[in-house]
Amino acid sequence: MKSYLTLDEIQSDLADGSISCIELVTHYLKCIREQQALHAFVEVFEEEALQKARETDQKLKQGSAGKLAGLVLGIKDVLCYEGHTVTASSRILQGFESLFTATAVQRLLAEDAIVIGRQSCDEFAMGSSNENSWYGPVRNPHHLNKVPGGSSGGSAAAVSAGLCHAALGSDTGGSVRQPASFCGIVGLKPTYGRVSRWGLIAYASSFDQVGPLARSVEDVARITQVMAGADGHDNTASPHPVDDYPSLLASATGQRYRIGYLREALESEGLDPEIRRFTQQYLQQLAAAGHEVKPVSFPLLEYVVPCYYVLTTAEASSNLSRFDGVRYGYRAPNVNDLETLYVKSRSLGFGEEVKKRIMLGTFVLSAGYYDAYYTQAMKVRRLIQQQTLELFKRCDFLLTPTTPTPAFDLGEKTSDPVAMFLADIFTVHANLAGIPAISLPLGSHSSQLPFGIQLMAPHFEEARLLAFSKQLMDVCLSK
Amino acid sequence: MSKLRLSAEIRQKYQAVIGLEVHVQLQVKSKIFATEAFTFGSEPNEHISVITLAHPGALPSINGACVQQALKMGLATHCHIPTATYFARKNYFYPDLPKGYQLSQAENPICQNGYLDVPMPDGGLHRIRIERIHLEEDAGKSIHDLDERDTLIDLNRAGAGLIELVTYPDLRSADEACAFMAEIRKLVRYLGVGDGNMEQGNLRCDANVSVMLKTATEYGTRVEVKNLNSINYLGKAINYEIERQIALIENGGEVRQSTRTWQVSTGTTQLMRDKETADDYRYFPEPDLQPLRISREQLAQLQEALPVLPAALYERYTQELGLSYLEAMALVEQASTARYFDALLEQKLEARVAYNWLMGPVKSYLNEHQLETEAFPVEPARLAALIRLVEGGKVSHNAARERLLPAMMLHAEAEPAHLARELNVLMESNTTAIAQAMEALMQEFPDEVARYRNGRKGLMGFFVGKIMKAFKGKANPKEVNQVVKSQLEAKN
Repeated sequence: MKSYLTLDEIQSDLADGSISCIELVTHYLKCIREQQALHAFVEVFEEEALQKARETDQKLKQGSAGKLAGLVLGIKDVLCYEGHTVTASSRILQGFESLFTATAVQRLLAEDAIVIGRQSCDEFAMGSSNENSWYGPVRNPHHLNKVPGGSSGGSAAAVSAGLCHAALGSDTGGSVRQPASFCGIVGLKPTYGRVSRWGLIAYASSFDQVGPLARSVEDVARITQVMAGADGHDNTASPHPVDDYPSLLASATGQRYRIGYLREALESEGLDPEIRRFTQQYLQQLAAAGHEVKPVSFPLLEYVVPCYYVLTTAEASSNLSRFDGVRYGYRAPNVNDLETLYVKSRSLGFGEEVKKRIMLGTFVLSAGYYDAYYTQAMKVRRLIQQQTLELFKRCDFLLTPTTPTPAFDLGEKTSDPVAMFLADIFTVHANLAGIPAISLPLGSHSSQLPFGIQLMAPHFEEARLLAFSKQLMDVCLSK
Repeated sequence: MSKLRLSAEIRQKYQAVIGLEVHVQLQVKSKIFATEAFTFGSEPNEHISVITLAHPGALPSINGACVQQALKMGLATHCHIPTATYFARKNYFYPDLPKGYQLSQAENPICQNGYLDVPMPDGGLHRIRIERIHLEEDAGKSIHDLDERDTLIDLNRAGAGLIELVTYPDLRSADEACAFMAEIRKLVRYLGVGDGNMEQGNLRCDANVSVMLKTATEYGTRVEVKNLNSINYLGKAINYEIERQIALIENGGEVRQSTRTWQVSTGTTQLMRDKETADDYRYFPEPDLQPLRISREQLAQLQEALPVLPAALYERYTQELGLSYLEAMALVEQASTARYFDALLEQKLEARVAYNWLMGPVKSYLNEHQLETEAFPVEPARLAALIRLVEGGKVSHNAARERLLPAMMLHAEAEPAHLARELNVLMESNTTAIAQAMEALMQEFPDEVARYRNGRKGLMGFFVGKIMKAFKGKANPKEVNQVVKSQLEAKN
């Protein structure tokens, strides 16, 4: 089967009969089997995907197929799908079957997307390397000894390796964009509230956003357009109207944008020299193409990671309290009293990173420390939001590398949590500010590894962000 | 109950200071953050959605009906209502708390700084300030005594909407606290916010009690007393706690900030936990819910729709109608009783007459059948018609109460006057006929007449009885009395 970059190409082949959904699904199932070493999928819905493919082929014949017919999708193991197991790649949810479907997934299913399986991730989406999965680490298809990034590592690896056409991940501090960067694909974190979180297993509720990973900006636009919008199940899902992103993709043509790059980011110590050089050159190209490229100062950059970790762990410590061994999921055996039930079930059910973050979050919310950590971090977050909005008065987009380095070795940073946290330094900004951000696979490292460039836009400016991204990708691909 | 005995002299040195925390279970059809029903008497765990069960990926949505109930309570207690209010998480582990946190409010609750004027037994109104009213969800029920080994969990109640009302420490005695609680219960029922049933736990309260020397300027250390599921227990527990604290101080001890629980069996309070071991609930803003906006239009509409409240009725009954504290309190106890009373007044009945009928025959019928006033089968207008028959001398009070009123309950459509005729209880107003009958009697019983005239005044009843018997009870007793007396005393 030929390699498809976009769903448009698939749909035009479906239209002229040169391929069928059943052939597509069969192909992906074969690839998944062949590439099991990647550990990208934790469960494949084989029979069901084939059945859905047959139904969609039928619908296509009748002319009644939805607008995502032919899209074979993987979903991160934090998205609920009725009647299917969902575990957040944690031991504590082994065997748990969801009774409902996440709104984001439901809307894609309603347009005839086919969900082929669920994909490994860092446990409860906590991690930047996918090494925290109960199912074991996922590997980077570009280099099997490298991490795929995290926490949506299984999803990024699967799309990059062609095991599915696109995937849904979730992004709390870069969990879509960072693995997209490491695996050389496109990943979007929409504006906070753009996509409903109903059915997304919470890590940090005021940061989490469902986002697509795909090989093209077009597909990211199409998937986002279908998922986005208000939802009665999610009070934080915004009623802001959803633009028709796919049809607006050409709207950047001929536009000259004001592009700010964060001086502090490019000057930051941990930034890989090749990535720095590439980014600088890329900025020059943009200027040469007529855009207004300017350095902007964002002195709060050094606070984004600490602020992020205080607030996300605080929310996580509370969000994960429900996993107590009482109603569902893992319960420690041979327990005779309540306290032991809690302690043992949670101690054995959660992995190290999750426990670390629960303890950190519990600590920052504790009486006596609350003001010094939680309250302070809330203030810093507000400042970050304000300063970011200020920057957008002078710029249409903010540009940074997505990550300070390309994919690192498996095990390289597991013993150095601070180094691991710094892998998110450029991505957490968008989650703290609630703005949309995309990682585009523009860079290529001498180590044969891809890396991404990140663009951030003001709240609900997905249409403009995607249109400009498409333009940049077109230029890149035409070279 | 209390084994403590303090001399009145010692007791007199101290002033008690009391504040209450009142929980009201809201009368609404569904839970506060989920859509499933909330009703009593269901099978265990019948009303549990993925939200109540805290399944991964489930999120809360706010039930507007609960918000309305809280706002009604806030308006009725003169609270400030902010334009935006926030929810918060109160974190603790317990099996009947599925999420591991309770959705509640901390900063900026929905109602702030109000007050309630409470009628006190001395007849005056005391203003008790209310610090806040906030919305929160209830926990489920842990049942420890149904199974030998395991605790059973029923989550039907988990996620039911509650409001918690917190007073300032403005109460000074157990009696005042009880009066306040009784007033809150009335308010809750008048507003339809809750059913006010304390025994079922639908209205609960905790009391913060401290004592100070009357000469002191600062409050003493407070102790929180829980598990007060009736107004009676509230009073007893506060009195016990006041005496316990005074005795402790008098004996050189010191009150420590702590939580105690009321023991019904012993009539004492028992230590639950000290401040040192108090839970740290790690409150923080609930990130799954946006700040809740409360429009001024919505508030104005709710204000408009508020019913007349018990305090206003109490004021009118005592000030304008001249009823006593106890009479007014009896009328306003239930909104339906007050409404019925007002409906009788609208029928141009005198307040005293209306009160006597309502609190007499009507109340005893309701008590006997364990009914609320609204379930009384006779409409106010019809009862008023009956009362007018009695007042006009057409039907005797006894006959009205014993025969006509029961008949009216069976025949909802029939006119009282018509029924009275059918029952043959209409009294005949016929002075001439009575006079003739009396003349005949006087001739028949000359001895009795003579003895009467010689001072045996009691013999008047003999003649009245004879006449009433002759008229088969339908003669107007007043009229009969008059005629008998005037003829006996006539000088001939």
